[in-house]
Amino acid sequence: MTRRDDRFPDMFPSTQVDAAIEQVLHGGTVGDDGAPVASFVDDLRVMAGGPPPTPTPELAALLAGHAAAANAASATAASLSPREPHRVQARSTRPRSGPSRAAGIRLRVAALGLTGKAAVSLALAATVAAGGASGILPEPASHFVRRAIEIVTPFELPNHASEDTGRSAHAKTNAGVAPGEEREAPLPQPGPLPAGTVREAAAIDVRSPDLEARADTDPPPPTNPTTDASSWARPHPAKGAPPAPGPKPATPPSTLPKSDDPASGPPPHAGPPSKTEAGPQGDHVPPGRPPASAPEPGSPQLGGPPPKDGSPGSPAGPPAGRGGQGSHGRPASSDGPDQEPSDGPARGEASSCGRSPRGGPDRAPCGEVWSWTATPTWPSPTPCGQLPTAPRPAASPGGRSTAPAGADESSPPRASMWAACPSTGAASSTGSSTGTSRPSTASSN
Amino acid sequence: MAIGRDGFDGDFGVVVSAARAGEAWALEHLYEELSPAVAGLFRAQGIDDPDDLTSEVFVGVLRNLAWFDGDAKSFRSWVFTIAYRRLADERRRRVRQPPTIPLADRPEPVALDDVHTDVERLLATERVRALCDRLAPAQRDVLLRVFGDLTVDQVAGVIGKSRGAVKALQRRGYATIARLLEREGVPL
Repeated sequence: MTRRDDRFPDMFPSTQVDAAIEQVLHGGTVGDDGAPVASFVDDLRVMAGGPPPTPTPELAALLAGHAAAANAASATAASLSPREPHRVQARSTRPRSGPSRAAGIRLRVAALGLTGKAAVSLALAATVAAGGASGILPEPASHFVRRAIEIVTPFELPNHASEDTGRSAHAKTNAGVAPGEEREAPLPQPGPLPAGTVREAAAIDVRSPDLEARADTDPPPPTNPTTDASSWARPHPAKGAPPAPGPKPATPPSTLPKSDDPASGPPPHAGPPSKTEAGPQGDHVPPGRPPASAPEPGSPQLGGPPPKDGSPGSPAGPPAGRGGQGSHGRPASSDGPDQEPSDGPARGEASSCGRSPRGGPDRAPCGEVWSWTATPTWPSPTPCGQLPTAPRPAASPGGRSTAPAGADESSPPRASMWAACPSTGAASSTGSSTGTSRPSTASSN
Repeated sequence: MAIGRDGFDGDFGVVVSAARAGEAWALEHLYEELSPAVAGLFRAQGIDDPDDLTSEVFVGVLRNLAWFDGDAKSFRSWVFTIAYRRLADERRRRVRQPPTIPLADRPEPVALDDVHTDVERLLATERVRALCDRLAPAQRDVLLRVFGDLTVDQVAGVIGKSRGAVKALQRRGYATIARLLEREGVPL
């Protein structure tokens, strides 16, 4: 095997070439083969031996020993130099105006594919629906979204405005408990909650004002209020909204009879009564208001200031039809437009059907009925949507509903169909006078 | 150590110290000794405006002179390292930007005091540029050995190649130049 350099006998080995190069570079004598290269190297040396080139102004200033002038000349040269380096422009942190932002969003959406656009549309729809369901949207938008959802889907969303009113009415009934009547266990007493927290806590209570108003007309259930309270009004462990310190009577819908006996109201509602504090429209808890303590017998239930009629701890409390003042001095009757008497009960009941917001164990899941007996027996496996809407029979003297035979066969309208969901317990206890029969297994047993 | 060709004659340390102190004579001395070689390198590489690029090189040299530490050989190698980096930048810039075509070939400036030498240099420059245009850029980089009077190791350090690679490049360049000159005839 021959080496690489041996293929061409006339070619110099690398060592000989290197030696020839070194001879040429150092100006040594070379043979005839290296003469042309030697002349080339001489030409290179002639090129390198010329006069120094004319310096630029910046270099001339440096050579003159004026560093400052050289810097100035450098700046001038940099401003005039065509080889100015590219500058990376930082993204402006100034917030863009509305139209430009909207245009950017439109461009981004337009750049999406069909799937992306569909996903964006779904996300927007879901967001709006969730906002409408949770009530964080403005009232007109929330109403619109709620109606849209109710039309499109079989679900019915709670009317928060009605909830507020209903909660006010419920506060009125709570305030009117007779002296000595045992109340529910006091709630944990946290400090004043921020507005958003109050709203979240208030979202637990979804009973409608109509239902509450109906409760005012009912005779008091003979069941033990304590057990009622334990079954109906468990304080939310997570929320712990403070009880309303003052009564917040609300005017029930005018279409329903009013009762002057607040003690005959529904079981004490120990849900977060912050809405009662804040009034029908507000989530505002007035700062500085002392946290409500456990109501004592004979005192106003919710710990508010006593009525000015000189009857603190009056068992009757403010009459329902008097249009009691809210904590903000606003008549409760001003909540009238927000109330929907025809939809109220259904909404109030349906709103807690399986979707009680953060209700946790306080709410029965969909298809289960709350019981109102001394021994809470729940759930009842009655499915949602199968409860009758037949005329409600009068409640039994024991306050337990007596469901007529065949009541389940009736085909309820849509509103009442969903009214059979968990808050039917409330209807069972309060709606006995309204004739709503309720197949509560606990009560029937 | 004195380097006769650099003209320092054993005073390199003094010159550099004076240049660091901002003495004009020292700065000019450094510039006059090394700028022709740098400009010749740029001319051999086909740079459009070698004088401006040479000035840029020496602006960098004089501004960073305070951080230099070494002898005359090291200084020469350092200066040509800066020159080679400027040359690389110029090559990249020429790739990015369209080449500029001069309206007419501008002749090299000729001093009137030594016309014969200047004409000889002008002709030599033309021949060298004609030959170097046929060399590969990597082979032209090895011309640092002539312009900078650098060793193989120094050139390897400047251009970032190994010693063997530098030797291979100079062999190929030597062979190419020899072939071209043999084909065209030895000038002069």
